[in-house]
Amino acid sequence: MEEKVIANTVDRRKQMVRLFKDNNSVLILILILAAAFIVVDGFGNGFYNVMNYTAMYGPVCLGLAIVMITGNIDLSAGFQAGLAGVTSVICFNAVYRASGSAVAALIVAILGAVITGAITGFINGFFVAKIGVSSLIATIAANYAYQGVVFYFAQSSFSPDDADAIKLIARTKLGGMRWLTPSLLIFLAIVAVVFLWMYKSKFGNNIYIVGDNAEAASYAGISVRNTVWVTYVICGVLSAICGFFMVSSAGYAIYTQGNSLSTLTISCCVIGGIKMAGGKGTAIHVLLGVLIMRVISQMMSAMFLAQSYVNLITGALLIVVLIIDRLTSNKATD
Amino acid sequence: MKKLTALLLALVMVFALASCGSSSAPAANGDAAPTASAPADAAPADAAPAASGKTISTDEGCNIDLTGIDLTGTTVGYVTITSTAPWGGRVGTELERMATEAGATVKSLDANTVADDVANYCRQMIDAGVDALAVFGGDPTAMVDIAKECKDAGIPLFLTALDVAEEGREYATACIGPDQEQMCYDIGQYVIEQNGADAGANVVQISGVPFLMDYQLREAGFARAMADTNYNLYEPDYAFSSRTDAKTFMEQHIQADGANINLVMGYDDDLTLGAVAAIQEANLGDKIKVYSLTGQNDAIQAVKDGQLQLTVMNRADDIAAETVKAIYEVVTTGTTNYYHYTPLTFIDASNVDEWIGKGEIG
Repeated sequence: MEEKVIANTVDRRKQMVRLFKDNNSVLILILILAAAFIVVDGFGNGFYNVMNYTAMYGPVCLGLAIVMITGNIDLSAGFQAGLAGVTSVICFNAVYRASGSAVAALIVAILGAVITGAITGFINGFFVAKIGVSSLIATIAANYAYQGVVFYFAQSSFSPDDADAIKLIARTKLGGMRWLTPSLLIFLAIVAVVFLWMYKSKFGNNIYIVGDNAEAASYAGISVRNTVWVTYVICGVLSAICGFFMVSSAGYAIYTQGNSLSTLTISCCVIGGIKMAGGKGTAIHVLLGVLIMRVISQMMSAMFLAQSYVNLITGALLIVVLIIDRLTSNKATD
Repeated sequence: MKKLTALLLALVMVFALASCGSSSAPAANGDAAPTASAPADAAPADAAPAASGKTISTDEGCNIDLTGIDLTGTTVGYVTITSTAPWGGRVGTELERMATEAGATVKSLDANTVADDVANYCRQMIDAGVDALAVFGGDPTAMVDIAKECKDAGIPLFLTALDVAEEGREYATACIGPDQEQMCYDIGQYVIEQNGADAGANVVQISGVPFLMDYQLREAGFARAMADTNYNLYEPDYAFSSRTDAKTFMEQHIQADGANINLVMGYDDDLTLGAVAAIQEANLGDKIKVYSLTGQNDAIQAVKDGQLQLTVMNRADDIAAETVKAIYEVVTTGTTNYYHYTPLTFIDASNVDEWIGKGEIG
């Protein structure tokens, strides 16, 4: 009896340790936030930036994370977002000019962006899952192609006819609070839905199994091809939501909007705890990763650091976080 | 042990960042930076100009006189689209240096070529309560909102080598730089004078960053000059800040249509010199004439060597100095002209000897 109690206590302790090891990004975020608020002058004033950018870039990071969990990568997510942003402006202007209704134009703009994302994701998935091209190569090539289309339409700023209408989603201050925007609420809702879907649904479980061991998944009767293909479509749709948020935030589309997203999204995912090798991570990890990156970025801009230091510190932090991740990872789960 | 090491690393990371914060942006003269925002039409309480002003050093060739300028007690925010492009980077470093020597505290942020971040960083400067905000690069449309927000916050906005879209001009304080459109119109007139209006020349255009208004205006000015000729202007190639890319574009033109190219119009010396290198490697230097602007030292040398017909010196330090001067005017008098055109110098074979080594960068 006594041995059983001791064994239970040890198990519970192991569970707690495991919980900490799996969620060390929470600790990192708390430490960085504490340092930011206590030490960095002006961080509080700019905190709304952290939330606005988290809402804006969060969806694309989440999309990439789902692809990464299958053990693949999507380096075209940035320009899928850019292309969806351009499409949303084209759709908005077409409907607005035809009907004069900003509401109808806004709805069609969002739909246009989402459909564009689904199409680009479908194309990526086709080459990776169906044809079997390396995800790295296929999505680099796709990135160039999408970049070309975006550049064609939006070399300089490409504005909707009613910029105020399109800004409603990302610039409306709910309750007068600068950090609380409809885009943030939408993103948080997406995180909740994706989190539950991946944990509760059979397909969500399949994603983890494919990422953990594609061969075993195949033997277990899971269609690896279809699973991977669907994740690319989801990634495309989530990238498109990011693209629309970027347009909504800026009030225009411009080709640079997808420019820096490829590396940023990977950094957010990795810092949050998504494993490059696949099979591990949740939507909450992505949310934490985006928050950590944005807090760090906001800290550095609140300090008015020179760009050379910003690049140096960002790179160094990524390495430090990866080391922490490595040291605190459970070998059995890796 | 592993957990201890991990915790240690996390702490090192946090405190390294924190220490960066405590050492950044010191007041140049040792004074604490003011935190309250100053209205556009009123001088900061402690910014009364000294009779003699500060000593601000300028390079040989700088055309702007900064005697009597004193920005003590003024916090100047500076946001740039990039600090790594040679000419644009020099505008920033000179502006920061001159403003600091004038006694100002300078806070700067680099958007690292992301146009949206220019707007975001400008908002951050507004939140920080700077007394004046200078912006280099960025999108003219995006600057409309920023100009309005600056006006609302009572912060004068100075646009360096950039103009805001028309609907934002009533909110911005000043636009500083050469008249880009007129400059390239004049270069076009020079080209016509040299070659004749009916030469039927095929012209390759090497440009920089397509969304930056200075490049847009330069292309528009050259196109206006060429409107009444029978010249054939190829669509501009955008090499952004890369001389290597400019060279590649020129090599592609030479391979595709080398026999028919007569002229190259480059909208930035650093890029134009990439095209010059491609032309020299293809031994087409005698056939293709190259025209450019910005007045870099290596471009002036290329004029001397006969590889370049013309460069127009558009000095980055003139723009920086004129911006500092405009800020001083607003801080002390509450007003300044909207357009501050900086001087230009046409350098060709006739006067190149006077200018060797007197350009900027390169």
